[in-house]
Amino acid sequence: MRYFTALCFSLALSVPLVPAMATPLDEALSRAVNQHTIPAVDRFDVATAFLADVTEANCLPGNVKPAYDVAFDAWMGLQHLHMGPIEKNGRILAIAFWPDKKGMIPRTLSGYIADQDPVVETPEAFADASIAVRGLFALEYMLFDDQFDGYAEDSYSCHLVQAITHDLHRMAAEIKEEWIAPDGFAQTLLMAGEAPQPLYLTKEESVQALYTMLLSSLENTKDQRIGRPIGTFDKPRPERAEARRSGRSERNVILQLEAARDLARNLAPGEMPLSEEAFAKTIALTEALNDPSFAGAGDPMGRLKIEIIGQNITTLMGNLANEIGAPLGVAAGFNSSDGD
Amino acid sequence: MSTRRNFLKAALAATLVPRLSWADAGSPAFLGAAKDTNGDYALYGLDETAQILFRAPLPARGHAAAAHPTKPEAVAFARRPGTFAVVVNCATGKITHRLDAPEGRHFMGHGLFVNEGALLVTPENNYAEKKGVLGIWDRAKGYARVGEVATHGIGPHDIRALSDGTLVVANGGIFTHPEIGEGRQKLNIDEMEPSLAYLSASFALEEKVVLAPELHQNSIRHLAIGPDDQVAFAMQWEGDEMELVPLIGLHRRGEEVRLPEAEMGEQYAMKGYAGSIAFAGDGSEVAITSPRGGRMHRFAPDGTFLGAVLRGDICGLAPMREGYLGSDGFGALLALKEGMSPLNAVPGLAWDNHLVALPSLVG
Repeated sequence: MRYFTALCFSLALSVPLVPAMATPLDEALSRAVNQHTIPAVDRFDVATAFLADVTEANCLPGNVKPAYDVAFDAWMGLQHLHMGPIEKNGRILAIAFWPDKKGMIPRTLSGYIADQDPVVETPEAFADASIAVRGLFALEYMLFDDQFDGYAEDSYSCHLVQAITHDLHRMAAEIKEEWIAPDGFAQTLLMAGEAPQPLYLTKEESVQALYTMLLSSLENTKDQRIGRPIGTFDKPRPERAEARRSGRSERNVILQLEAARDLARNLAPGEMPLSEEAFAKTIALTEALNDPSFAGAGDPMGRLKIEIIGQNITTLMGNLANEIGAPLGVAAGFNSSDGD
Repeated sequence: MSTRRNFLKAALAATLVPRLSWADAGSPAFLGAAKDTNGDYALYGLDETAQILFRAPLPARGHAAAAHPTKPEAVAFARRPGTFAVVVNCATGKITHRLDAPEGRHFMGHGLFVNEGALLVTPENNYAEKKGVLGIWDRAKGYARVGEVATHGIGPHDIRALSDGTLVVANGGIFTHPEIGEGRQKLNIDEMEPSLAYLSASFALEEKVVLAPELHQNSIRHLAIGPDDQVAFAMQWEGDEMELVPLIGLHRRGEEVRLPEAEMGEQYAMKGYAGSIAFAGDGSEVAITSPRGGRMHRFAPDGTFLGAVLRGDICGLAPMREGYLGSDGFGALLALKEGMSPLNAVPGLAWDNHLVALPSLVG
């Protein structure tokens, strides 16, 4: 039996986890997966475990809010990786249902609370509840919105908040497990066509996928996190800012840029001076806003300042294409960028 | 001597050319257009295992092709708003005819042979009058244009035939003008009215299906015909991107349309866009692809959602054996059903939006 175990072990070792002759592209892939994606899924797991524990002990908003910020911060380090376990089973929406253009979250929460819906009683039932009552944005309403945040210990709302945080940690733990398992998504990226569960046929495709995440996350920040609150010049919409109730609109932009910068640094085959400069400038401009919930989008000067951040993101994306996409020989998809 | 040789050549040509069949092109099972690393476009013939049998250069980016039912001829259409199509002899790889859209019309990227291959019909945009038409071309007359009929909707895109010869046209509902925004700018998003139009073999309107008013911005673009003439259509949502709308429709003549959806998270992940649609080779299910969402959604003929297969940039889709053949912009050709397995990967070859299964080989 011992012999058998030893044999299995040596066989397992003989499967190369890193390529024998590492090219710049192989190295970029290895760095991005090992130094960017795995720490990101791990941080989200740890942060949501903390949130669930804190909430279990005391569900009241004053107690939960700091842990909420920790968990949301960790999500901002992960949410740009719309791939594998994160996009499986609709998890992205279940974790972060935004924008909620039709006001589904407050309406559905009110309904559940009025009906004392028993869905909060078991984790299994809550995992199948409407995504409008799950995840970070439903929790934001419960903790930060006047309509919901006046609940008492052991009330239905208290149990709902506990169910939301537990459900968040359940998803985070599943993502982590499915990411780092021996046949998990990290190996799907690293080993490409040789992976136990292949999705990408070659390492170029794996890198391509990560590079696509980098650019599309920045575009999403520009179009949604920036674009929604600034609206048009004649009709700015500060009430549409992401996570404005918890005063995280500005912080989320900064954290998203930092997450993108970390991924970019790991993917870059060499120095990326123009991208570094553009990241630094864009982050500095965002910090200088000093406008946590983007309320300033409502006046022309404030709106202009936020709009300029979006313009800087466009410049940044061009630099990334030159300093990462071109030298690695990857570009955005042929059909996904131009359909018919 | 030379006269005699020329005579023999001519005689051979006269007797042999009409007998050419798809076997002379290697009996391809599929056609697909792609761009290569040099930036050149070509139409490729693929065998049943997705290996390339032939490559016929195209003068510009293609969209879809129409395959002749018996002769090894394919008509490759420039993507919209292209004003030309080329007839490719797939046995020789040569372009034998060029079709130019008449003044005031442009092609939409699709076409279909009807009347056992005697006529080619092409969905077109009559942009002066803001209406959709089918151009009719006579193969025996060297693909001369012999007429046109109305599609009873704006922006006709794909066209298919039912077993009795009835034509189905996907009127996408979107109006474009070749002189505005490179001809691809959508000019009537607020007033779109997509429809499915059934035309008799003599092109008379028999039935027209429109969606509920709240779905009027859901452009009906691509079609697939299943067992018992069930029509499946794929849609592209032009409305608010956060709205979750169905992207596949199922219809039978005279019945209500069914508009199935996946569960919310999966539906959202399609990004409001279905690029291609096909029934499985055995007709047991139907699927749509979203290159933007990087996934394929499978449905049973009764609309039950069967699952998603994830693959970045996947778009082209055709029936193959009990499942599907899919293509993407990274050069891969994949066998798809519950999962995917690569059949062929040509790095640098970006497969365009559609794969066409040869009609003779589809049940």
